Amino acid sequence: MNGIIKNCVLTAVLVFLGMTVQLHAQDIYLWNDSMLYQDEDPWELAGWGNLTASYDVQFYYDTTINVYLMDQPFHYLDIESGSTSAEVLADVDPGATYYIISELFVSAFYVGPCYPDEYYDIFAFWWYGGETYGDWWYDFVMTEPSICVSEVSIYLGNLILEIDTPPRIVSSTACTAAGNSNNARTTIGLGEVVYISTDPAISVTWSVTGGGNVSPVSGTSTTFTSPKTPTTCTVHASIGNTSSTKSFSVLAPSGISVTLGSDSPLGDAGPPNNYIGARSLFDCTVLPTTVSFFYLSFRENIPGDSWTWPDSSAGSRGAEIVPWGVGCDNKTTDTVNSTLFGIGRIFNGSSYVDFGYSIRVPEEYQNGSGSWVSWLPGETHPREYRGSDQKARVTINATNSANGSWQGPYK
Amino acid sequence: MHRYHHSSFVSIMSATALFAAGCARLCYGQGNLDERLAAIEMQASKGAQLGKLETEALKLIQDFRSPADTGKVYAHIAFLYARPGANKQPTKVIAYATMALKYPLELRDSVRIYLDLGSAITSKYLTIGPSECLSHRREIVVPFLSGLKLLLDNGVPEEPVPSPGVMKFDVPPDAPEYQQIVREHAQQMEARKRADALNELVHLRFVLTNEICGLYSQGTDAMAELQELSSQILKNDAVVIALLAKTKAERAKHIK
Repeated sequence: MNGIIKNCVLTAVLVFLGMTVQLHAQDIYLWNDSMLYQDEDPWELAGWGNLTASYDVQFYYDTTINVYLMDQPFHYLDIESGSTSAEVLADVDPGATYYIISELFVSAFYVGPCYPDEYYDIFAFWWYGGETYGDWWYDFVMTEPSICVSEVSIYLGNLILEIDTPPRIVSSTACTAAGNSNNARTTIGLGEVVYISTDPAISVTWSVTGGGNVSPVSGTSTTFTSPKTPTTCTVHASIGNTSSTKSFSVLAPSGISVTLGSDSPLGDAGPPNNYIGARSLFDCTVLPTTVSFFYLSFRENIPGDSWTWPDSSAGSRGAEIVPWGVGCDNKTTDTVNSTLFGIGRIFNGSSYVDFGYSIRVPEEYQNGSGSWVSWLPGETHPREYRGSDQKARVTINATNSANGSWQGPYK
Repeated sequence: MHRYHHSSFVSIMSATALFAAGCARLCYGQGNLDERLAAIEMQASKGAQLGKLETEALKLIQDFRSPADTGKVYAHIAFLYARPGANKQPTKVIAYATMALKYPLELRDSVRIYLDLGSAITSKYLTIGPSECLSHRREIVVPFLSGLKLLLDNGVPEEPVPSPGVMKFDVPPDAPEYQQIVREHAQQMEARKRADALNELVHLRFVLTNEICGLYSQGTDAMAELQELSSQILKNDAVVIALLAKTKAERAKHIK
């Protein structure tokens, strides 16, 4: 048909929450918008075809927009029509491509004299302003003089908006934290392992910014290992021209919570009372419990301490490094043993006296480059001896303090 | 010992560089193969040029000539190129992974190589277009299935084993109970190490299974192809049935 313009397909533009492509046909503007509702499950994609027209165009013509939402050619998810706008809506997959197509039709109605062998342009856009480009003519030729009554609809063109929906990323920590049973948590501990995948499964390219590692780097899933330095990391899943991200806050250990588990006296109770000392087993939990430090290596870096007993003898505890680790729940145990000493150590020449000394047990963890980082430098393990009954106990001072029971004296 | 002699020349030559570039660079020329590969990997994590590290790693084959060592070198070069950020060169991963698989490898390295190989083939096609992966999934899934086969043959379970903490202790070294607690601590360390090593393989089984299912849950239905390939490679009916069921469930998540 002489009056039909060629399809006008503009380059697709992806802009969420207001993506627009426009067709300017004379005084008619056609544009498409779309919006992706990612808070819905499944996601919803809404698309709009809209037009505005000048007063003259509105006066002389009727307009129609047909809007189609498709996931592949000729596979329609929704079709709607309207005079100046129409909305389409459908459930969509993350990580897929969709098309919103708007078609614009204009109808003109002509009543008037007609004469043979004359041409009439009942659309005559050029009469009413705007540029005249393309082939806008709808011509008809009358063979006899008469009054013509004619209504003709022409297809002005279409717009295609291509929409790549970003992939949806889901994650699950390998460890369930004692203080947060939700493995989809995005606050994690140093070195934590998180399994990350697209949902539904789509092959993507994985990358990470802010530190840490992802492996493998392509596929429907990856394993993210957080760095051993507190930071914020973002995992990216990219496909085509779109991508999704998931950010993780990576926390360092902040303390150790201790409680007394059990006592384990060092011998048979006197009399006769020959030895003093205490041994207790403590339950320890690395804080915060909302993340897991399962993958972190810890150590006690005991520097060694010395003291003088009430009987003026010298006492000492040598330096020692004790590596340790926690389960997924951040728990471990700590055995504190004063060892046995002769009861005379707390005799000052005239009586048994109260006495105590403290062993420093600073805590360190190993970072990604293999260096040891001090994180609880003030942890101490005091030993106390009571003059009145020659009993002893051990204590852990960490984030909180926990005492063992008074024990001994022993045969 | 012969190997150390041979590499001492490299150590001497690089001694000057030590002062300028730090210990890690010198470590290329020292230690056993694992240590030298670890030094190269450390440089990669610090952003060193991969081409240079590749050359350094290839030189190790002159010092470590056994088939197992050669395979390990190729495998580690593949790992270097499989790091995030280096994925613009999937052909390097494919080339080195393919070479590594011609040599005897440790189980963990073999499975990782199969995983990285499948991932690199995926990368190669993703760079052409998102749908290219689906057109070539037959090619992609074979390494994943081969890695899974290795794990199954070695009895790697589906679920992780418990991996408890390792105790702290504060016992004076001169205490009579000291040796006993040190032994107990060492046993816990060893148990943890064993559990972690096994659980790493369990995790790889989980990842490979998900990659296989994820690949066939997309696009047009190719369950018959998955059944054919998994039966052929795994030769394990129970696992094949589980794979197909999981893939079917994953497919159901797609709206189309």
